[in-house]
Amino acid sequence: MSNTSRKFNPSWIAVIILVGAFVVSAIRFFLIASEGGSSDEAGGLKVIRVAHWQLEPGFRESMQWAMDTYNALPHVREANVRIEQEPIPERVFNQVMNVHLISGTAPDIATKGETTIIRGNALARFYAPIGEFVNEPNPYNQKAYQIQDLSDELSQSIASMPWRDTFFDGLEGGYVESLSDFFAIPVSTAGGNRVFYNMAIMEAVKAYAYQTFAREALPEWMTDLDRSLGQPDGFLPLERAKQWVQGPSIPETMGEWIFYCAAVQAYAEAEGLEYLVPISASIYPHNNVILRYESEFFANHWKRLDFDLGTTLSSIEVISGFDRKLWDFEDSTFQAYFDFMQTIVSFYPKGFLGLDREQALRRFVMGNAAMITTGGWDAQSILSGIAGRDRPEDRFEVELGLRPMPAEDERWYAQLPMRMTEANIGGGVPLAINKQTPHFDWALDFLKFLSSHRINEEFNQRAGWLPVIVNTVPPDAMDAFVPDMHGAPKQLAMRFDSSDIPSSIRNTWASTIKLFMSGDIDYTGLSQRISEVLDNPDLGVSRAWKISLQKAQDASRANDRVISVERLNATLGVENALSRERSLLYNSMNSDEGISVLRWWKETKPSEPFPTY
Amino acid sequence: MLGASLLVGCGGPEASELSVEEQVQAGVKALQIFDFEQSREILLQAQPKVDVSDETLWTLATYSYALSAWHDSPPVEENVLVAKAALQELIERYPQSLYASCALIDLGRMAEIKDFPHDEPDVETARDYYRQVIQEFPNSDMAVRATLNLAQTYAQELEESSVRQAIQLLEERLPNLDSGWVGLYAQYIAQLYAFYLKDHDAAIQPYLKAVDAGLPRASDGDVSLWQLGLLTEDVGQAMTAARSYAKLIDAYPRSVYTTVARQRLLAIAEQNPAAEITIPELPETTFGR
Repeated sequence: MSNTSRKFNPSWIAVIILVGAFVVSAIRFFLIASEGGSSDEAGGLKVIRVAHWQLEPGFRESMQWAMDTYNALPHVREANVRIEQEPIPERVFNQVMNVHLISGTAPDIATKGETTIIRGNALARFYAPIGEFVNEPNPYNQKAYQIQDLSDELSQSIASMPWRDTFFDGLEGGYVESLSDFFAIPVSTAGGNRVFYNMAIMEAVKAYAYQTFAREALPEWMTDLDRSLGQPDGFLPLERAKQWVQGPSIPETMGEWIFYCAAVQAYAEAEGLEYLVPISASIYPHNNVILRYESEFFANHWKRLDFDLGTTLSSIEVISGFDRKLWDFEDSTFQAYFDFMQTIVSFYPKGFLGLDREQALRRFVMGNAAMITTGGWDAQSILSGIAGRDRPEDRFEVELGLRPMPAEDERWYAQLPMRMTEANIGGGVPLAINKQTPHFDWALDFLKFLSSHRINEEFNQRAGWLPVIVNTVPPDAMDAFVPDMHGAPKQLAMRFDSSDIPSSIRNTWASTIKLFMSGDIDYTGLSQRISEVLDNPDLGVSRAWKISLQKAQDASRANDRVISVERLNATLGVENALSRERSLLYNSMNSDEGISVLRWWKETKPSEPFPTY
Repeated sequence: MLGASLLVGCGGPEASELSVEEQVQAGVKALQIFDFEQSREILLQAQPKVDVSDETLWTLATYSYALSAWHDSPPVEENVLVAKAALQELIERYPQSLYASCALIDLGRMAEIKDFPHDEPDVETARDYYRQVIQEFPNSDMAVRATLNLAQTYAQELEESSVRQAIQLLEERLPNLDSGWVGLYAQYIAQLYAFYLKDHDAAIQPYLKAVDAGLPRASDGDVSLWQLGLLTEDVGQAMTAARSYAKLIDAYPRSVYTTVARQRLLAIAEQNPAAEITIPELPETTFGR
């Protein structure tokens, strides 16, 4: 017995390590929490940490340049302040921030993500509102900090403009509607989704197509594309395709684009290039150009579906439209969209649903795809990847273009009259200030510096992103990503991927489309699968009504809370609280307790009670 | 133990170090950042310490405590009862105070809605509270709010007669409102006509009045102007629609609705060449120098 008790049990090692780790962690927690999450070093140095998830090439280096420039400013050195960055991978960013925001150890500045704990009004618990500062000019836009050669007019304008007006989107990217205040300062713009063309392949394919046009008898792949009275299912009049082949431009219409895709396939076959595909697609939604057209195909039903004319189409307005016999799979819009999908997917690599974003980018960079679609955040990776290829002959020019839309004499013109506007693209990388930081003034000062005209231009030039400040010059390669302000609002389009749609419908829609794209089911199969779910009393339209009401009622509770607080603020004389309360009250009048959903139900089925679980 | 005591010690300054007034202010501050739980915890300790004869501090502490208890999440019956009791006490002690009028509206709202499972809404009681505010504080902003709440209870019955009753309540007060409230009342009336009664014609005048007075949700003003344009086109008032679309493009140059508004303007101009409608150009994103 005594021998056993004296013998050291190895299990205690684990216990000792665990206890030790807990004590160290608790002491560190106490020390950092007592400083409000900010780590002050010896000698009174104030370290301000900035967390973000932008790990794309160039961004961190550019951010470091901005921080070094700021840290070197005389008044910053004098105050013993130093800004540091903490890049965190996007996959774990939300979890890391959740833990640190709750424990009071979060960085002083962080990208305002979409974590559940800061959703809605809870944001105000963790991040500081900055609305009271945005109407004053940015001190770092004064003459002393400006770019040297600015015109007098621009120089004076930038120096005197309220900070918020210096943002190209009026600082909408930092505004939180539910709290009626500004909570973040965006520093870059992602821009719109664009098509990247490999111009070396385009030149070769155009030459091949030009030679093919010269033949006496055109091959079938060409004649099948011809759109004429005798062949209404064609894509464009071949004569126009011939003209396009002889010119230097990238495809400007959908007909030309589809002609080009078909020509790439024919060229690859003729040249024995078994890996060359027209479009480098992957499971990553921004690489799947078909999905980019979904809103445009479904943008013409709003007037019939909308219960309250002109407002954003809600998910229940869309889904109940099936029950109201306002759309089904016999509808020409749906047939056209899935016809388009079938056409375009034939230009993707086989098994593209098993490829990821990196694989799609690599295929394009390696010259095995004629084009790829993605956003501006991938531009730097693609361009530097191409420039970095070992053999000079493997490098190629890239041209960027908007997704093409059909011309009047082309297929799907009736269904695609207008592209979606990108006017809703606001500033990205929204940096917010931790409410618990003991260095709020310095955090705010750094954000002013980072979003000043000169620094924001240089920062984004170095990062290869679009700036957020007006009259800044974007990097040459990013010109093409400047948001296109023209087009229809997405708010009026039918959407099937909205999180408000019951998961039973949303998941069926998404999985069925994948089966259709992979060729596992045909249009009849697709129509049956989705219709069955929509008709199902437990999973379909009926469930969508119940969920819509529940969500509206929950939103109503949240609205009530903010109204109460704003009313108290108004009573205490807080500036603008009364106008914020009125805005919220108007919201309440129209949506309180899900009244709009109940009203729409009554309009749809006046004699039936609202469905219950 | 060491770890636990370290963790416990991280809560910031002890409440006992603060004066009662500072504790109340801390509770109110937590409420103002929507931290209802912390606010309730602070005010639960602070409110009973406030001298009842200090009307300013006591009413603020009591009212804030009631709000934090009411809105603390998840909502439970016990907290709602605590909130009701605090509001009742406030009304009894200081019936003429500003917070008493707020309390009456909140009690009405508590009666009107389902706050927790098995809570039974009582619309008639809610209406009594709203009417009490209107009668006892007739010329105040609280009466303006209470009228909205009262009208809303009728509109939510979704019957034509009750919706008309709601409109009547709002229209009776509309001429006597401060300008800030006119936009809210007028646009709500327009919505009731347009979408509850399907009377687009009747909706136009109040809608125009709301636009003139200032829309209650200025940030969504483009959606309202787009809607007004569609409604006016629907009833054959093309020129009014054209003004609404033009205003949208001018006042909200970054709106997602500018292109479709301009399209409608072009269509109206084509149908009405004599009107010589000016078609504004759409703004571009302002990069470059």
